[in-house]
Amino acid sequence: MNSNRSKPHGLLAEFHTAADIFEAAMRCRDAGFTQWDVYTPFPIHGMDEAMGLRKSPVGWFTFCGGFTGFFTGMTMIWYMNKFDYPLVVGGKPLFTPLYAFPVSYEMTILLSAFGTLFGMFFLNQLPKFYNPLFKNERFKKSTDDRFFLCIEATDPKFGMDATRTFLTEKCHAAVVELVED
Amino acid sequence: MASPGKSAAVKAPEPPAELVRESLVLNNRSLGWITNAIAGVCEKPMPMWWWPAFIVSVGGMLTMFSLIAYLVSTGVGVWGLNHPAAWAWDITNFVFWIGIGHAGTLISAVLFLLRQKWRTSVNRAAEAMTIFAVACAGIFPVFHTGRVWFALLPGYLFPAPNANEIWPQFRSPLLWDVFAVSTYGTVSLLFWYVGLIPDLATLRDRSKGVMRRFFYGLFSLGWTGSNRHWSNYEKAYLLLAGLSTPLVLSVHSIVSFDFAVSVIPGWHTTIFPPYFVAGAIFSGFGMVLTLLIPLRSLFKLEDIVTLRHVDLMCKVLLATGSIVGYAYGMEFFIAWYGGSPYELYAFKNRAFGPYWWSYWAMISCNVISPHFFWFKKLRTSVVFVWIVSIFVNIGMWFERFVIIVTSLHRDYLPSSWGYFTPSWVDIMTFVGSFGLFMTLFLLFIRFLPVIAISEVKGVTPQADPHHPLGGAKGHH
Amino acid sequence: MVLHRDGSVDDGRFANNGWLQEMPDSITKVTWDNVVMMSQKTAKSLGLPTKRSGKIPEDLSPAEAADAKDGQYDQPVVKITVGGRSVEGPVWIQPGLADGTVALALGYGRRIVGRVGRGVGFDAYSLFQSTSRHITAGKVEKVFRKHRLAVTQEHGLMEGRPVIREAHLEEFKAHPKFAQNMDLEAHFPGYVPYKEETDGRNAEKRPQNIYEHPYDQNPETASKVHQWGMVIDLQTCVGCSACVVACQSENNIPIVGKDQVARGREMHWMRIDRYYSHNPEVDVNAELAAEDPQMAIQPMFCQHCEAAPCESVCPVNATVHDEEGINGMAYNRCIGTRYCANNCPYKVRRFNWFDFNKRESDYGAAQDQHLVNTGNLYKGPLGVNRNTEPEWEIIKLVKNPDVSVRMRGVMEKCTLCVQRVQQGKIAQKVKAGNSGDVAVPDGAIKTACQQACPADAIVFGNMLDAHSEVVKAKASPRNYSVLGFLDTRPRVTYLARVRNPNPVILDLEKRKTPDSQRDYERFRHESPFQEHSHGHDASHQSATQAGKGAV
Repeated sequence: MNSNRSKPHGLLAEFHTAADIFEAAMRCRDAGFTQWDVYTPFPIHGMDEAMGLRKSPVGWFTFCGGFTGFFTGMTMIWYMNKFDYPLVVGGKPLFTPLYAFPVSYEMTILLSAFGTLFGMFFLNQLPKFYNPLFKNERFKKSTDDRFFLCIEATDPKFGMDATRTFLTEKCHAAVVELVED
Repeated sequence: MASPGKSAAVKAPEPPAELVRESLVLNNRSLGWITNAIAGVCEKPMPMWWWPAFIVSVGGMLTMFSLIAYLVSTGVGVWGLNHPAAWAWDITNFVFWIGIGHAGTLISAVLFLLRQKWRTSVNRAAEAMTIFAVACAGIFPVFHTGRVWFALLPGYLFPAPNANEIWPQFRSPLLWDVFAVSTYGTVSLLFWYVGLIPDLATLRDRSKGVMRRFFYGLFSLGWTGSNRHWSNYEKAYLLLAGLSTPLVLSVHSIVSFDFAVSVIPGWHTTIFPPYFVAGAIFSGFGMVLTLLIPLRSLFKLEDIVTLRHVDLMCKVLLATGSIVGYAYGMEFFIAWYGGSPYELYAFKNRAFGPYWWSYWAMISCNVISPHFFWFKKLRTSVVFVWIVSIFVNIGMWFERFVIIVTSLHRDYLPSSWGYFTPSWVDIMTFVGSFGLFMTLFLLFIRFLPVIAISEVKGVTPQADPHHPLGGAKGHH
Repeated sequence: MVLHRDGSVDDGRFANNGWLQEMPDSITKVTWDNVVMMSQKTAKSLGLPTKRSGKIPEDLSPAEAADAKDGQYDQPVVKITVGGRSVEGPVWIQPGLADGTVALALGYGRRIVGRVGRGVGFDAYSLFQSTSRHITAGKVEKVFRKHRLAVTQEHGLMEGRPVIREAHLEEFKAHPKFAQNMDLEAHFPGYVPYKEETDGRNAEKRPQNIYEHPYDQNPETASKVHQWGMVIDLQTCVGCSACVVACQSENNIPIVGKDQVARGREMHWMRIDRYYSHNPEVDVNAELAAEDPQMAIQPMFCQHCEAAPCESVCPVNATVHDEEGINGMAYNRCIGTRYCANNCPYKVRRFNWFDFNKRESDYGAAQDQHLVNTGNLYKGPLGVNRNTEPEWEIIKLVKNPDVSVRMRGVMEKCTLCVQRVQQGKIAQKVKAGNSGDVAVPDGAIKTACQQACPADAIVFGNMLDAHSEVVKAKASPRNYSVLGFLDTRPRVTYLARVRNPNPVILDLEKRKTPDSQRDYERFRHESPFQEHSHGHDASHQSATQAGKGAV
């Protein structure tokens, strides 16, 4: 690979146990890195605090979806059965929120679910099929039983040698360099 | 199990013995072993029995599709329906399948919210079962209509401008059903898919073949296991679980409204929503056991789907079976206490009328059989549990048959009383729906991880950074 | 042995008429066949199984009822010999027929007839002798064969339900409003808050609803000119079934053939329900019960409920009320979920299970197997299509051009002859011109059934016209709604039947009220001729008032 064309993406450190990466994450946080992440085969309990992450905002997407669903449902039913084409059906009122409720309720849940899912995709920037991490063969173990920590080159505190030393000395990890294509 | 091996290094006091939980994964397996064991199932060639099972299932599925083609081309009259009983096997099968489809979401969502970690071993298969059961369920109400081509056309059931310039009628429980079942199918699929994304990434990273790598890569959306992603992902999963719980309760409530909102004696009953939901959970867990018991032994997954799981699911069967039994009794009590001679007749007719055999089949399968599970010995005998689970499936089919057919065939005016007999098309379409279900399930086994890999790993001690097996040295 | 002309095909001249073949016999409700009628005792003496149709009630033990599926009666066949000639026909055990008598209908079993009548029934003319024509003696023997009959009504007892309300003349004189004091609606004042309706649409007492009917709440949805209603007088109805056929011809209702009738799929929008009642002091299973039954008949069709249970369950708005109170069907909107038919308490909706108008039915041929059917209708697109037949042009001419021909998968039912109503309104508008007097005069619109009724038992008209026949009829104390307690508010109501029995024939000491009334009293422990006792004082008072109003 031509090193002139490749600019560094960051440094990838590999760990064997959950406790090791947990500790390393706390050190990274305390060292003041911002452009870094931890890659684990399953979510590790407490890792958000260890990394210093804020609470996930997915819930707002859910709320917006749900509100839209309920409001759309009620309005649609009122418009269709009362306003646009009122028909005498079974001697029942032309509109009441009672009979409109089940459908509005289902629409609330449906749109909440869409909001949640697509909100999560949006926040996580998925789908994202290209990722420099995938170029590392070792990284495939991140979905099996290994734990990785990557500090990206775009981090203002990043320095190729200093960061490498930080990871090997302080975090006791095997470190490799990642490049962007 | 709290402190094997490195216990000497742990400074924290040991938890009292009664709080020590039995490990969910037996024999202290490593994370890598779990990946290999589960991903191995869909990576290795299928065992010999898979092929004949698949061929038979596909045969059943094709039978069903050909009979549906016959139905659509000829008329609903090819079924045995008639004038007092304008619904019979079609809606029975629909409610049967949709009921089965409730356990998956229940296990996934409700047990997730209740922090029941044992769910992780069974939720994937149960969710898959849900989706396939909803697919089977959806076929019946769609094709039971006289003019399917209009039923599926936007503007009839689905609100859209149309040539008739009439909108759907939102007072109809059937329309509520359309919204409920399609929402349920969609949300279950989303929920299942969200759970699959990390595992698809695992399969992507393990796969050797180009095709597999491409498709697993495509559907895993570039998942890396980033903790920033996990953070949003876990939140989304929690929210989806929170949404699925009221959804799963509402779906069968709305299905029960199809009957409860009507005026027919035996249908017009306020107890229906909770009774249907309990029945759905009952039948769903029955079906989960029917499928998982053979699966765990065929694929050597006994260390992940343990006897404790079977035991716990039997307890759910016992609880929901008792609720169902109570509902049967309460229906009779209210029929008498309510003072309507029409209602009382409908219930007497259920037990002692021409369809007495279906009523007593229902009672013996649903009310009597779960009570064996008071005994731990029977709860942990997999063969016995499997047999009872089959009875539960049969009994729950009969429950819907009893509710639908015995109420309809003798309602208000004795002059219109009649009798329903299924035709061969009725019978083979129902049998064929099992073919569709099994085909989808076998394909699921073939291509997707039957157990949620990342979730099972997440509940092992190795996953806990504060646990010795997770590498904790006793200090932070 | 009695040979009699048949109610459907007369002496055989109508044997090739599908409408008449499919019209249920007035009493037996058998279609597409003639039968050998005999009493239960006679059948027993011949060693025939009597468990099916002869017994009153036909409320059988489960094992027995399992014999009859969807109105399919597999009846034993007997051979009747008179003067060396014999015929074979299916036994029909007829309650009330004199013992030792067999009755056979003529006009069936014609050998040279069109394809409709071919092979239908047996030819009783063979037993016709020049010496003794209609009444003669003969020999009856068992034949070890069964014949399947297609019957439209399987259950012949009211089970104590006051579907038809009857009284003797003396009782009626004492309690003219007895019919409004029956079934659960008689208890409205006691158990449910209620209100008296006075707006003329329906002057019955009814429970207080949590919401008003749209006609009241949104008055723009109701016509101020016409509100249609109908009354059936059970007193004058003779059960001839002319209305059934008139309706069938007016509304393009297909015939479906014997096999489909046997499966419970007849398409008649109108049916005549026949109920037997027996002396309740006699055990229901005793032979005596079948010896001296009373019979009552009731035309039943869409009741055009103002609060129609069928409408609110239709997901696509295919059945709705128009502004004049007709429960209408939009055929091109219907997707065929059949939910409306299930939710109809009167079971008057009919579903097109096959393309009955396009595919030829098998007429009188009955399929032997229940489970598998190979008839023409079951062949679908591969079956014989009527369009290809030479008579297609003639078949088309049979249709009423004012009424849609329905395809398979569509629900249909009585529309109160909406096409005639529209024509009547148009004619009146033309006549009214600029005067604006668009109210159709009473009697200008007649429904097909009303027009055909020889007894004038059916009255149709505008309920907003205070002088119309229908308003007068509805003001009768005999007026009642079937299943009124459901609060469906039918626009079609019935006038209770008053019997005036001859005391010489009927032992009035023992049977001082009709048997159906006694059955009702036995099931419900209450009598319409007495005030009901209620739990608390307020309700008791209102019941007393109602009772006083009645007397």
